[in-house]
Amino acid sequence: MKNVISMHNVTLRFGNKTVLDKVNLSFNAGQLTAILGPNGTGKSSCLKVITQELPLKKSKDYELSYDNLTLFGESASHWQPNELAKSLGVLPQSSNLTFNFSVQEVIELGAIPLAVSTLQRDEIVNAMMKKVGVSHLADVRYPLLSGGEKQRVHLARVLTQLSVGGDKKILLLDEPTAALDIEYQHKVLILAKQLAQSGAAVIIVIHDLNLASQYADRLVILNKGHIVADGSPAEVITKQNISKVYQHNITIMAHPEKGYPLVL
Amino acid sequence: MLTSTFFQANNTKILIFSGIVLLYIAIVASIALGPMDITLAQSMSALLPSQYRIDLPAHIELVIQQIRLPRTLLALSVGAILAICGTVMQGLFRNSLADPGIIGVSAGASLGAAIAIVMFGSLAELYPTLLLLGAVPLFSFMGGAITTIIVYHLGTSSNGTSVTMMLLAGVAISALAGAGLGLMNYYADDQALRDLSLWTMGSLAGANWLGIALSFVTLIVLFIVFYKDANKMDALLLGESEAKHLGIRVQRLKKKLILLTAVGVGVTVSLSGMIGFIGLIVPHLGRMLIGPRHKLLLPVSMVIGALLLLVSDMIARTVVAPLDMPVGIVTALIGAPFFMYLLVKQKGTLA
Repeated sequence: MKNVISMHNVTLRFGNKTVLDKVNLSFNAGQLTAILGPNGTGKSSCLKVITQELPLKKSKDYELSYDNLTLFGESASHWQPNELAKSLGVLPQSSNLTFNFSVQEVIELGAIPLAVSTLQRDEIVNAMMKKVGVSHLADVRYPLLSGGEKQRVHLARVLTQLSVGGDKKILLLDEPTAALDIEYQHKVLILAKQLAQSGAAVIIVIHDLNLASQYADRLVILNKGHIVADGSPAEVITKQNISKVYQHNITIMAHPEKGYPLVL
Repeated sequence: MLTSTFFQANNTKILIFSGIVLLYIAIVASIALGPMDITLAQSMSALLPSQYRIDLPAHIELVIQQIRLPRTLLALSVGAILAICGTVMQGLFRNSLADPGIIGVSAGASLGAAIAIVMFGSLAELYPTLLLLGAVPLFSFMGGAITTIIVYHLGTSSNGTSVTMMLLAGVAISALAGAGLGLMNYYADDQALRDLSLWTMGSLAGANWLGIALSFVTLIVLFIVFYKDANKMDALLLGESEAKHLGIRVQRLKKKLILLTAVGVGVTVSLSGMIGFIGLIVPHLGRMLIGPRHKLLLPVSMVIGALLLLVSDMIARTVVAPLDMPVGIVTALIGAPFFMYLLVKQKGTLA
């Protein structure tokens, strides 16, 4: 399996709090990986290291250092931002866009890094709206949408952004299901899974262990700056792992029909 | 107004046509308006190339060429610059309450202009051009740029701009610049003092052809650069991280926009003093008409801004005729209530 993201010896510290402590992680193409862990254990920070949003520097109250960070086999800092944007998309936790764009206009923003004609762009945007199920909202003003609708609009935007990335695709989702009802939680994860099956590396930060267990190919549990478990759902979702990390006594049982582990 | 915009994008032809017609009407009216009677026909004829003109009496020709036309053109260009700078600033701060006047940038720019006038005032008789087109706009720009950077850093964090912080920073900086401006009064000689008084309320009475050339060059340059970045500014409205994820070099873009809006505000302040609220009102009107996309909003704002300042100046020239009121009074009378209306509308969301 092709390795598309790898980071070695990542240390991230805010003040005295070490969020990531010499972490090594790599992610493969064609896999849906879920990053799990209690609040404040560096899950989202992990994504921010990959997107190079956090500055690589060291001072008294902040430190980010790593031996290397490669994306598609090339050092991350060598990528031109505009080129990388075609292959690396991020679905944010929430967006505070207050200007009265229409839904279609918001999704069109995803085409900014692409060198496509207006005609091609409209085709892509329409296809992605259909895929995510927001076609009927195309002309609605974005600020009027519910939280869940907004999230789906941004998913369509990010899918538009990645539409010409070919086989080089990474999609990062930061707690994408938090604002969604159960139907769309599953819809978003099914879309993420499809994208992974078509060859993309999909990484999802998520709190819901059962959703992660159902859809992810691989689970990584972070706790106190370290990776405490990494493997298939069956390997990671064990009574021992989960009880230890979440300090809560739980029961694990297999899903009665599909067999993946459930946390009770 | 959130549910729809007045025009759809495919109506751009109607939009361009109505813009040109309105501009033409306003220009003709502005030339005809004033203490000396000039008919609309004379005004229209004065705008034609020389071979098509009707012969005008020499004194009317003189008034049009020396007073009315320069003032009209200055109003158009200054209004347009203020409007596009307001549009860009609202995009940059991701907040529709940002305006060069309200957040103190104009005040900072006018302090810069005042310093230049006092420092170099003695040179004015020897090198009037150097002062008008050189030192004053340059200092004014620096004052504006420094203020924008300060307000931006005070008001903005990774979560976006805090309106409260932005507005309070504006209050603090306006107070500071006002004190500096007051201080300059004591160092100023008589001529400089007259020049300084112009800065406090804003006036287009000092229009001259050199200033007009400077403001139109500024307008064209700013518009071209802003227009090229229109899509990037749209992306910036999503948030800085989101814009970065779309492959935009956000820091570079922000620096460029801050610098260029300071250039625009600096030039307008050096030519016509502090004219407030154009940069606040116009982008709102523009968004109501055609929505928030900068590719359309920038040209539409430019036209509305030119119109709004020209009409305001016509009001300023007529209400106390034959005297001439600073146009800043008119824009403040229109703009301040509009600002309060926006505050009331955002009341629930201010934090």
